[in-house]
Amino acid sequence: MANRFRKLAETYRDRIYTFALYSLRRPEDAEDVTQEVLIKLWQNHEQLDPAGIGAWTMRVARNAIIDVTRRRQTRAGLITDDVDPDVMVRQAPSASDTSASVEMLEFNQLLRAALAEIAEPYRSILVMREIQDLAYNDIADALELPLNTVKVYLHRGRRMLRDALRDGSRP
Amino acid sequence: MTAEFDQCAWFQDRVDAYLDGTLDTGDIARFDTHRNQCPGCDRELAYAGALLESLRALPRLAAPPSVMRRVQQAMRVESRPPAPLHARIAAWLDPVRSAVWRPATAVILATFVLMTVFSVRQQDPEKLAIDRYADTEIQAAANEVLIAFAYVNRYSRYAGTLLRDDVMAARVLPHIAHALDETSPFLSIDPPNMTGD
Repeated sequence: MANRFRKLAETYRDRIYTFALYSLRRPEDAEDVTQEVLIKLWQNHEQLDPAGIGAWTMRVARNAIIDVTRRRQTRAGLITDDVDPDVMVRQAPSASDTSASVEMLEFNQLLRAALAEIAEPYRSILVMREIQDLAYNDIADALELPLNTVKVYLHRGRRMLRDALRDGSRP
Repeated sequence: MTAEFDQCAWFQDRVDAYLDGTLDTGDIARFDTHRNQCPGCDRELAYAGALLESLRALPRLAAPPSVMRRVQQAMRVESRPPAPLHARIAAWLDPVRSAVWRPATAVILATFVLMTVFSVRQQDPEKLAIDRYADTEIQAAANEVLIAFAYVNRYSRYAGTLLRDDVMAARVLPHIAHALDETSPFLSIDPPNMTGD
């Protein structure tokens, strides 16, 4: 593996995986998306402008996520909507956890479920901005949207998330 | 009531800007004033803030090592040079595959041979002539061709084309005979009498 690609893969793999997992909620789908994006990165990294690789990677990841979502919709009914088991294992409460922290874990599961249900591009913007802490400019480049539109959509996405959780558990 | 509702709508529209710290300075005082006067909007702001905090606290996740292993595997396969031609042919002729394509090839070849034989039989001029025409009809047609040749020879002199017999025999008739052979090879025409007698 070329050194340059190795560094790029190390830089972006977790970002891609996080984005994919919060969008799709199934670890195996997130792994497939990450693999697909990294292979495309390997195929194209020599032609890409180094300054734009981050945005390019997230754009390709988002397209791959949309493809997976569409495939799911075509075989709707076969896919269960269970919560992400990997994340559950990583954050399963231990004996020392208080009831408050257990409650928080349960709320986080609801939050993830609600987030995954948010429509595009609001979900992508929420994940990139609030969880991955990407700059507005990077998000705008990745999604090919004007900067102001990203800001407006972010607020709209937050409101959608509040509305989705309003009747459920509150933080 | 309407004014109060308008104030709440104004407040709700600015909750996120307030949380982000991007609300205009002039609006912050109005926002805070309403918040202190309206318990519902105050709760909404607290809810939005807590939710945002929870969202931002969600962990960034690490891709499992298996992902990179799969990527490296795919890269190795893709970067492998193409197999040499003889290896590809050998693979194609692999007995396992032969079990699939040999019977298919045999069927195709048998069909081709049968169709060819049938087609040749259909196009056999002798058989066509025998099937379609009586001997007398064939002979009558041949005689007419011979007469036509004789006319061409004789009237070329009257027409002033000055075609000599040897020119007719050497340069014109072979073309006509060749054309006839192409269309009716079963007709064996004796060379006409080029003397015109």
